[in-house]
Amino acid sequence: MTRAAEAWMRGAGPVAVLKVLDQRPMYGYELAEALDAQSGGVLALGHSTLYPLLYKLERQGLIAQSESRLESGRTRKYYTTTATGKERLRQHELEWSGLVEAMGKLGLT
Amino acid sequence: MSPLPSDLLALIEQVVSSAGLDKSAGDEVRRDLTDYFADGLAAGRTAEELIARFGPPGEAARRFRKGVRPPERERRVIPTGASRLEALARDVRSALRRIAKTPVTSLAVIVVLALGVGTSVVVYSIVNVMLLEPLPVEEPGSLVDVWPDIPGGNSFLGISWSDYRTYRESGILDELAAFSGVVASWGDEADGSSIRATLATPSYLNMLGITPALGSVTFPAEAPFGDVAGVVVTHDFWRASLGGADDVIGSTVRIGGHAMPVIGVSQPGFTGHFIGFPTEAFLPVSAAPLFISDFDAADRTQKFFEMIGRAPENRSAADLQVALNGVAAQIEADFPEINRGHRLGVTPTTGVDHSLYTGVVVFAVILSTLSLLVLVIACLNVGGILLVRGLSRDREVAIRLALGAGRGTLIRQMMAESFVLVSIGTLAGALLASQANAWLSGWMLALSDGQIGFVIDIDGRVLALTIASAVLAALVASGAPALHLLRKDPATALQARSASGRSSTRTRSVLVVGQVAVSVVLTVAAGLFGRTLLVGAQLDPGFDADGVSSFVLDLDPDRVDEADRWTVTTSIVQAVENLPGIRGAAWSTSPPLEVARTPTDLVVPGVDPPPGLDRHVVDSRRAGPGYFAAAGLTLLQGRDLSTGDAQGSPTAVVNRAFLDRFGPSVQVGSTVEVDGVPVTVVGVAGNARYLLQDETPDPLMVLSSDQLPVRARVIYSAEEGYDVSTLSGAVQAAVLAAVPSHPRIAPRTARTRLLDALLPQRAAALLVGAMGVMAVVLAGIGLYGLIQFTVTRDLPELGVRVALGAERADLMRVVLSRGAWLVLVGIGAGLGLSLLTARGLTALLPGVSPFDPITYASVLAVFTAIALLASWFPAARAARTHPTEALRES
Repeated sequence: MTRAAEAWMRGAGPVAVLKVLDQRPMYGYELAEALDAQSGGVLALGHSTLYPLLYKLERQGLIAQSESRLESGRTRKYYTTTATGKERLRQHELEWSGLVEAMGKLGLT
Repeated sequence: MSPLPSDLLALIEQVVSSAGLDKSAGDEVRRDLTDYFADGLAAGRTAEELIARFGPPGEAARRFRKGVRPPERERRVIPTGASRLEALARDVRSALRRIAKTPVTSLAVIVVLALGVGTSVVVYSIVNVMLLEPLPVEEPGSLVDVWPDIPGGNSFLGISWSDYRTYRESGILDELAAFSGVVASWGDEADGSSIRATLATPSYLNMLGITPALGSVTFPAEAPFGDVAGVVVTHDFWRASLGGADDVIGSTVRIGGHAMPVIGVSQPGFTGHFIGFPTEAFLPVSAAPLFISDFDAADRTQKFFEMIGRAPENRSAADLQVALNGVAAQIEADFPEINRGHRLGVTPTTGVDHSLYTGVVVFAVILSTLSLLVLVIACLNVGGILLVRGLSRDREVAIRLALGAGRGTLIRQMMAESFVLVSIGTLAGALLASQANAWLSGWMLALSDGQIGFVIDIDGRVLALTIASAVLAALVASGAPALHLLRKDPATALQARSASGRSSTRTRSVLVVGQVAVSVVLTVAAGLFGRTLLVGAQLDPGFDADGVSSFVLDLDPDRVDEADRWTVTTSIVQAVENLPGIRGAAWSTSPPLEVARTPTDLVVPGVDPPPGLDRHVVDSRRAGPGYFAAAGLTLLQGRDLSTGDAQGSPTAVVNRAFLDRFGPSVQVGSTVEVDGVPVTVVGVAGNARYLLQDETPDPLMVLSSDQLPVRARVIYSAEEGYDVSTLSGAVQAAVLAAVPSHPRIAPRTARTRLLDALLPQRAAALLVGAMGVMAVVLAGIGLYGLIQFTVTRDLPELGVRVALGAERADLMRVVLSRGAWLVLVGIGAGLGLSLLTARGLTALLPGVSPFDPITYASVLAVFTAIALLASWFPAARAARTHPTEALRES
């Protein structure tokens, strides 16, 4: 991945996480898989970046986590977008669609 | 759980160690990554695949090093295997945490519940003491009150000693005791303290099964009149006034100026068998001559005693009444002059005078109903608050449901929180109630000049009942929102938040309308009682109630020789009359406004007595010269009682109503026969309210007399420009000049007596008024909560309105009108309900219509004001809304 591509991804990562979590609460692995699958592999951004990203989003109050105990006795952490997270997502969506539209007008579809 | 493959574990350790995290953050990361890989393996990936997809471990370490650390989290694990007790403890702890997180809401719930529960506990305590709790005596169920049933008569009149003996000897009852209440000076007479004592036959304490706490409670049987073997003091009095010392037995006390030994202290908790009128000491009936002037045990016209008896097994009160009236008929036949129409009533002993019992029951029912309404309002309110609280957790609940938390667990946790809140509120209510009970007891005591003393204890049963109902009601109220949330599917809960807000607003609206309606009913009741007080206090008794005062002149034989009584009284009256500022003074047997009647036999030549009787019965009192002038009563014809009247043949001044009744047969100069003695009518006075209970004045005679009672009343009035209450000191000095050992006098104006006579109405107004105020406050809180809630919910809409150019005034109008509608519906329902139920209060509202328009209009005004006030703040907040701010809130 080029430096530029990396920069794009850094910008897209949080939005993508918020977007995916906006559908329903997910646990870490599930989220990683969903990002991978739903972005057609484009956003398979190396899962090593996922947890730091999740922690960061949680600290910013954009996502929240809760725990549930599985049949096996193991606990599993679920992440979900908060109201602030939803609002941020909405802003980003507007920005993205504006950007995509602008790019489209430039012929970059 | 099986451990991860070693290469995955190594990867995790590499990330953690090269990130240089501290222990807790490292553990957190380790845990998360372990879960992550475990989930991956469970999804069917191999360790190699997972390592490849993870990407370079250095990348993660670098980010962590850059300061991206796992947030410190509260560990919340939903238990599955933990014991129920542990789970409960955890629920309570977490409930306390949540409560602390929303202090305002929590405080509102606690305050509202404390008010509701406190009111109920106070009211049910009173009702319990008055009506439900058995008297603290042996087998109260078989005790009966035996009372003279005088046609058209006076329930305050008793039984003569000789008649009592006859009834007792008939053996119809297993036991029959006689007693009489007296108020006498206590200790050193000059310091003016008094004691409420009961003169009683030895059978009295014995029959009630009273045991001694110290010494003995048995008076010697058949002691001759005039002998005082000793006094039994109540446990309360012993503790309060005798210091609770063990060596009290045999010590000497002074009651009514007479020294007597204490022979015993009665069992704790017993203060006589009348509830609310505690006695402090029991004296043997043989002491009667020391306390009742001119007492003559053989004189059947001296009806000083009351009776209480023990019914034989399996004999009803009605049965006994028939049997005792056989004896009564015999007494009437033997002494027709004295005991004409003499009959007895027999009713089970309740601790409340038989003539008041029905009224007390009615009032108790009304009071209980009203307090139940307050509790209902409080619960509706708590329900409303908890509903909103529950809704704000809508999302959280939905997430937890999505995560697989059991609905049962969630309900349990919500209930735990409500339960903890309700418990705190109820406890606060109980504390409030015990404080209020103390205030109430003290207030009653002060108001009644120490005669009415309630010991309103919070009965365990009352408390348990109230707490149970409060907890149940509050749990039902909080359970509703819990179920409301849990019914829904998590996905819709997450998405359709505003819709749920709307449906719950409907629920809350219903709650608020209900509260307002119930509050209106309460406030109307409170208002009606308040109006009764106002009407009573402003009532024109036919004379200047503020300018006339009276006090008791206590010329005990120990103090003033009987032979000198007339001279001393006359000189005192004269001295008082000569004081600057005093218009007139006179003695009388009754104060200007008297509660008790003195029925007197009357024969009017030419006027037939009512059917079945051979004479008329009218009310009378005896008085000295210048009585009408002293009391400020108008004379229509003839003259006032004069100095010469007492010495010559008896004279009387009658009132206008007397003349109306007996028509032309009576006029100034006519002679009527009073108790067999001819009396000349010398004057006619205007009608005045002589008797407090009277709506229309009854015929009354004021008779001259050469006989002075030991305790006559001195009545005096102030000249124009003088305040009668400021003259008390001078009057006291005049009394002391004539009788240096006289106790401190306590003059009271007719207005004060009038207010005191309205004591039941005042007590009712106070209690109902307090509940009314509480209802208004609670309804205000409820309304405020609702409007605040809808404003928060509708903020985006309001923001749009602002964005579209709405003025602040428009926003205010929108919000205010929402509150106004609810209140209007509530007020309408409440007023309708009040009109339907107010008729039941008629008996308790002398002088005021249960449909009193002023009361209804005031309530309407108060609630409109409350509605405006409760809506104003949220509305003002809405009006300040900036559109962008409002939109962001969404």
